[in-house]
Amino acid sequence: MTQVLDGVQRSTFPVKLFITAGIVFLIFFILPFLVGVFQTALISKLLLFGALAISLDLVWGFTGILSFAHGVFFTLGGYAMAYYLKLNLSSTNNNYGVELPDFMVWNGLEQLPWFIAPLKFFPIAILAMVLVPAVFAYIIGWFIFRSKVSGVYITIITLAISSALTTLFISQQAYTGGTNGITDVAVLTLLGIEITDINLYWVILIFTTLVLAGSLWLTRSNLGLILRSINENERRISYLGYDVASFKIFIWTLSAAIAGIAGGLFVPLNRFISPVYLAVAFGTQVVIWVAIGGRGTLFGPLIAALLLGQVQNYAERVTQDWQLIVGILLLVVVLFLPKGLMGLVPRINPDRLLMPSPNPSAGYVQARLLDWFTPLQGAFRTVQEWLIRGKRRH
Amino acid sequence: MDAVLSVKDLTVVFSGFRALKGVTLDVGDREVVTIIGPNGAGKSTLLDAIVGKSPVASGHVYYQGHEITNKSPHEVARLGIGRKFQNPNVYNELTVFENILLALKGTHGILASITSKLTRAKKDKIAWVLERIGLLDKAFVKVSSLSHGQKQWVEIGMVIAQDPSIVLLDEPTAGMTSDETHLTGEIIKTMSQDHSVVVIEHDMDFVKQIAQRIIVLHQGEKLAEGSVAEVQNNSKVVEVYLGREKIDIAAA
Repeated sequence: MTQVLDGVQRSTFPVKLFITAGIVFLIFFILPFLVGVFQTALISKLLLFGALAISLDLVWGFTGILSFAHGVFFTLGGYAMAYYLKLNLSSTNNNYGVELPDFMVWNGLEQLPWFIAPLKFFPIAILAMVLVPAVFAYIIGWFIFRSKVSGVYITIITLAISSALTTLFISQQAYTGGTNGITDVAVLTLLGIEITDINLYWVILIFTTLVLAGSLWLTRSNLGLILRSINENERRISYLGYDVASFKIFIWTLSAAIAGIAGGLFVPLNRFISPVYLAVAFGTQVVIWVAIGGRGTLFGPLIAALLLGQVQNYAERVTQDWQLIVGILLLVVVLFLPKGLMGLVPRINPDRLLMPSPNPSAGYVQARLLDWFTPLQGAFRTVQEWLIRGKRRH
Repeated sequence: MDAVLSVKDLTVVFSGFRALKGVTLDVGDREVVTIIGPNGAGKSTLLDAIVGKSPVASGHVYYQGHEITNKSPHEVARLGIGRKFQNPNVYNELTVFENILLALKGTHGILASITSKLTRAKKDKIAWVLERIGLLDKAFVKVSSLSHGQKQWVEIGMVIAQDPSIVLLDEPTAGMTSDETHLTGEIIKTMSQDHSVVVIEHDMDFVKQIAQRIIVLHQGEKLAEGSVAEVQNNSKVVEVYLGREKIDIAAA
């Protein structure tokens, strides 16, 4: 009896995918030598946005929690790093020749506020970069998920958080630099060595790769199975003995921590942080990356962030209304590719956690190929799925 | 015989409406208890109250001698009370294997779920469950492609996989063909070798197939209790429930 299930094992990381990923990583590694300074900086930024999108995919794609507050977590990490860099600007580099950051001088502060002062030290700044967004997310998550708020209401709360924090940061000019945020920060220096753009690029590349690999590993464990089950029917899984709220709080907090680190790395690159990244518009952009890339695919959101960033870069040169292009792209994806760009690549999609050991039969492969090459069939299926989903909602 | 599950004077109130009015019942070890009654009698509410889904207004629920009244659903589940809902509540996007894997006992924490390995013991246990519900050959099929009856069995399998001492089944045969219904009866009989079973059911033939003891609920109260023959010959039961069904059949 048991030998029937003997072949079952966690589908090991597909070898081909692993090799492809390695090659892609190498290409990205040497990319700064092939493209200009501008592209290096742009790709650094887009890799960070990609990591941010992956962090949202963990909570939205897998667990079904749509959040517009991921820009907030990103920005909180960013401010932690920005204070560090600003406070380490030597007084000769400071416009006012004092230790106090310029925006504090303008706003009549005479002394560094006690809650900002410790950020002058690198280890504390690094801790704050991770812990401030994580603890903030934990507190929100504890209230939202323990009180069993669900679905669209969570989304509304995240919108409110994003708006409230934007207003707060703009109003507290003396502490946050107001609308301008924290600008003209120092260049990041580690152990007395200035971190150049290309070094920063590599740090960011490694960070994003770790986020991707870690998220893949995490979602391929039983945890991934549980998160997907919460997404499909959370009541059922609680009757199986799982404490749904604690799983949600965990992934939510983890996701915020990742977003925070991405924000922290963003500041030495961007050389400033401002409430723009707290605002709903930026939070929405993160949601769009995930939607276009493909929910629950991890690769998709990263690819979408990279591609859309490039599209935006070139479209901006042609027209001010580049958002229109992104908007149309989003419409096309939502209407015709419910699974996003990754829906076009069925093999890489980590659709199933467990597979029987025998390879898919020839018939299966054929069917998959047919799916691929018969657009009519594909379109038909999309409409079918659309109808079924519509029905389920009622 | 010590009762595995003991319900004492249970009352459940929904915004003024008393859905259950002081129901008392005991379920013994490895006993099959069937609850019947007309729609709105409070059958599902009784199960909801036991597993902590509906708040208990007064009365007590004891499981293996410990009070579990108004505990949260996941706590009740961890103690060893498995519940199957009326409609199949399975994960359509996962395979049968994955559905059972999720239900297995012992990987309910966050860390445990990240580090857990698919051990030999787990595979054997899943195979054992799948054999019981007759779906061993469908292990790697996505649940969405199964028939309605098979989905119901997957859910029964999920409940068994939790190793519960007691299994609560809410209309397990709803929407099944008569063959599937009969097979479900056999599954339940096999289950009673290892678990106590409480079944809510409408189909009297099915009840006769599985029942050891029947409890009749009517308007939130226990109307009668006893063997199949005792209940069938109870004049009150015939009047409010069975009789009406007979008349319905005659009229049809």
